[in-house]
Amino acid sequence: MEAILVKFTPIIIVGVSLGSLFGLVGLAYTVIINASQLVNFGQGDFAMFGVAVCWFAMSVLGLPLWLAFPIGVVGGALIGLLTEKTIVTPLLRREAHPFYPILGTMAVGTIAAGVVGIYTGFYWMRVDLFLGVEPWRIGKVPVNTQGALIMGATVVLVVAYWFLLNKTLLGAALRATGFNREVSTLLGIQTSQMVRLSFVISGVIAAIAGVLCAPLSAFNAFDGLPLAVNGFIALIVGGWGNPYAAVLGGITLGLIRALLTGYFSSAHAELATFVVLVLVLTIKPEGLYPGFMVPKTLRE
Amino acid sequence: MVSNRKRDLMIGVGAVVVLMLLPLRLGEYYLYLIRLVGVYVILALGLNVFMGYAGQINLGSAAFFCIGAYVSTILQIKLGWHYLAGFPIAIALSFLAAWGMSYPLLRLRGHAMAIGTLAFGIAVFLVAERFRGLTGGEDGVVVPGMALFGQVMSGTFYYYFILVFVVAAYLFCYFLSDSRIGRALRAIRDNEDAAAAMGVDVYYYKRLGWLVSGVFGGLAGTLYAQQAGFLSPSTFTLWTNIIVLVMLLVGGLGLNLGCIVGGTIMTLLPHLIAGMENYVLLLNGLILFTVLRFLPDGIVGTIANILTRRAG
Repeated sequence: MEAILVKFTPIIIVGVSLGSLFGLVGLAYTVIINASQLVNFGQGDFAMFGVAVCWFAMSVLGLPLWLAFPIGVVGGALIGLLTEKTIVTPLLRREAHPFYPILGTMAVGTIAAGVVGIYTGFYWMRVDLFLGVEPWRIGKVPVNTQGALIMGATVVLVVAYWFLLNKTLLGAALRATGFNREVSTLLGIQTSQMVRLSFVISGVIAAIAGVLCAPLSAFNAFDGLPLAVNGFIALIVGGWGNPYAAVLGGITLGLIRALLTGYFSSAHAELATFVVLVLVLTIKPEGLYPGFMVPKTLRE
Repeated sequence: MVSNRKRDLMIGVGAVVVLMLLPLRLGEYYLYLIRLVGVYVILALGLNVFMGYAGQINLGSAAFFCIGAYVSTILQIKLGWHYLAGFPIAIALSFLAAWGMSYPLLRLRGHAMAIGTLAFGIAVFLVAERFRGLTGGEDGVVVPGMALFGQVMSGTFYYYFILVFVVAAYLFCYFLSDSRIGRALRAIRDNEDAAAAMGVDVYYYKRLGWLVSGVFGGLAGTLYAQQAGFLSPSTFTLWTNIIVLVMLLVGGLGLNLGCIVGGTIMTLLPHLIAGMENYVLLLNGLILFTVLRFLPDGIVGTIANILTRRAG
């Protein structure tokens, strides 16, 4: 029994922390979807850029982590703002086909990855584990400190975003902009400001997710895209446009991956992610938890 | 663009004659580059039918490319088949894969279709990369050369072989775009509901466009594998999907000529700046950005617009 516990619990912990990470990226997508119904394909590169800024602050400027982390987050916010300013709003104004702005976000993300890649030579941007390599022990069960941090950050960010979205006037304005832009403009909401704000918030969340996950793998300039894909899958599996559902979807995926990795192999685990996605899209296209925490009056 | 069959025919024949004479003057490296361009042009033409004509999103076009390449190669290595026997099987299997995936994927719209097709593309890539026993895994496999009449075929032979299929694919798309099917696909792109109201069977035509892109992808894949002589999963990553998409946008979405222009530019770009591989990613991003922001009709579309404005 104890042997099972010692082997099984870490797998669950890895699964939940990996899932929280995907969920955080999914949350970052959701922020933009809430305010503009756009998918930001540069999301992973927002995270990557955050990591790059943080790494730059630490290794080149020699700043400590507690200072470099917020600087990286500001970097994420800046690239969010840049994406919105340079391509999303101009393309929205031109009323191009809806997938043009989506590709536009991908273009900015690719440019960011290219610039960071040239600077680092596509080499590992090293960020050490925040709390050291020694895991915490609860009884005999080891707990990865970085995983615990990711889970904690996810809870904090989801609660904070929930509060912003549902309990403040600003959140109401954000939701209204995504729901119907013309009517929101007529009601006196500055819709372009709301879209801009959503990109900044999304960049912040993505950068936090990126910096938190950077110590877990040899993070380089190419690693934004896989993060973006997994985050987007979390979002679709959980539920389109619902921040809490995206996190739940991420955790579901993370658990599936961790269990398959633990008992079969990582090749099967990665493949399973995509099989789960296609199954969800086929059987329940609205996601597994579409109405989770959404007030009844807002459901369609 | 004003369609002018006679003018198009003359330009087309001229281009083909020039392409047929090129091997007399060019070395193997340049022939290799042109073969590569040909392969990607076929891939782009197929995707263009689905994305440019029908206005759908496919971010997993490399999947069929990958299936086509590996099927004919595996048949040659594991079963000892001749390439010309594996060739139709590769295309048939890409067709079957496209047909099978059309049921879950084509029911989706917009963002869901984008992620669904992307997932399909990544899943096929993962199979190629992780299942060593079947595909040789990350290290790749050497594709055996093809012998015909007791002689191993050279690069020049593959050059003409690919040229035939590029011309055939282009002619197919050229006539498709003016046909009933092409008009139906464009009606779906402009307004799906209106097209359905006019009596266009939306799902039937979407599936047709998807199957064309699948078969063209498989064809491009098997040609690619055979002419390169070496196959590794790194050809079929997520980036390949994006690059093919950029090809369409650079040339002009929905324009057959755009596929040739975009395919040529995006295929040759990494070779033009050889030795500075780190800059390829940045350049791709800048090109995509510039095209989206300043040239929404692509290079061919913009030139055509200028010409029509001047003409009338």
